[in-house]
Amino acid sequence: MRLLKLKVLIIVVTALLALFVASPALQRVITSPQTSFYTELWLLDSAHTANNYPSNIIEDQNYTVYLDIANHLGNIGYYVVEVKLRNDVMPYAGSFNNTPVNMPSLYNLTAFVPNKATLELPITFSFTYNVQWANSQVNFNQMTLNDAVLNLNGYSTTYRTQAPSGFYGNLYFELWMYNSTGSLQYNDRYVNLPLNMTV
Amino acid sequence: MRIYHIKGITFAALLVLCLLASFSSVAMGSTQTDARTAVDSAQNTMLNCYKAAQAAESTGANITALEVSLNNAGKSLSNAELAYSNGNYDSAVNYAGQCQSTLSNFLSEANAVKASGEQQQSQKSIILVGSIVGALVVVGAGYGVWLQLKKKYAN
Repeated sequence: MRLLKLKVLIIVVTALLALFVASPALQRVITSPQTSFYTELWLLDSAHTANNYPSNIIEDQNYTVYLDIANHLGNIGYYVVEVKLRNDVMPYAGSFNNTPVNMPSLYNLTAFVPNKATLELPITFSFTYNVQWANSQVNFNQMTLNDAVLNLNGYSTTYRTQAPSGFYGNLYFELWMYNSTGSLQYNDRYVNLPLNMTV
Repeated sequence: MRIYHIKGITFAALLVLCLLASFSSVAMGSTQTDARTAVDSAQNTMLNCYKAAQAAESTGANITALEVSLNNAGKSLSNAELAYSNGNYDSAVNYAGQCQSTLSNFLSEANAVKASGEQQQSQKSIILVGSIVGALVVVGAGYGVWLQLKKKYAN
């Protein structure tokens, strides 16, 4: 009986000790490998919430939003966020066929995000524009985005009569990234801000 | 005496020519080709540095410092591209230069980070093998103790 107790004691002690000693190796075996590789993109308002995005724009006033990129690709990502502005009649991003807005980028934000990390880009922007009452049109002059002055000559928006009515422009942030061959590729992700240019 | 005089004139003429050449380059500024070359070169440097950071990260090393340099250089590159598209070629060359200078020591830093990551990786491998061998030794020792006790109780 005493031998049986000793046997059990030795087995338990040996097993516990062996598990403790083998824990660095077990850690590698137990950790499940990453199976899905993707990037997240989201936009937050100036208070880091999703409640109070700028919508009614006053000329020359600064607005701040935060653009966040979270990398789950398994390695550092080289991203380019293309900033685009479109009105109601310009081509829009295809959500279903994953195509970017077919318009030139106003500015390219370059971002490097290590694996399993999130990079937050503060974005402060303002617009200058003038209204043409004769044809109910707002003509954009320029946009300031984090000290960069972007020329918006040729950009305009007409009055939208359907609700929500106003002189709307959509500010797009499209995520592109360099692939393994070193060429820039659309990452099928974008966020946008519908902005009403108040007059 | 006359030879010295000719030499002096030649030297003065060359000096004036050099000064004129330097002034003309300042006055003319950067051309579109200069700016395109500078921006393309900065983009290539950026891609090479990105690949070096990727290699360093693959060893499991902490690449936070490399990431900061890349993002700082990225801002300059973005501004260089904007300046180029606005036709402001001097500014484009200047920003592309800033990008290059931010990344001037990047490759050597990335290689150092990679080497330290590889060293850590080999240490981890030793610990890994050691832990497996250690566990086997513990099991063997336990069995040995059991055999000794069994023999003692049998007697």
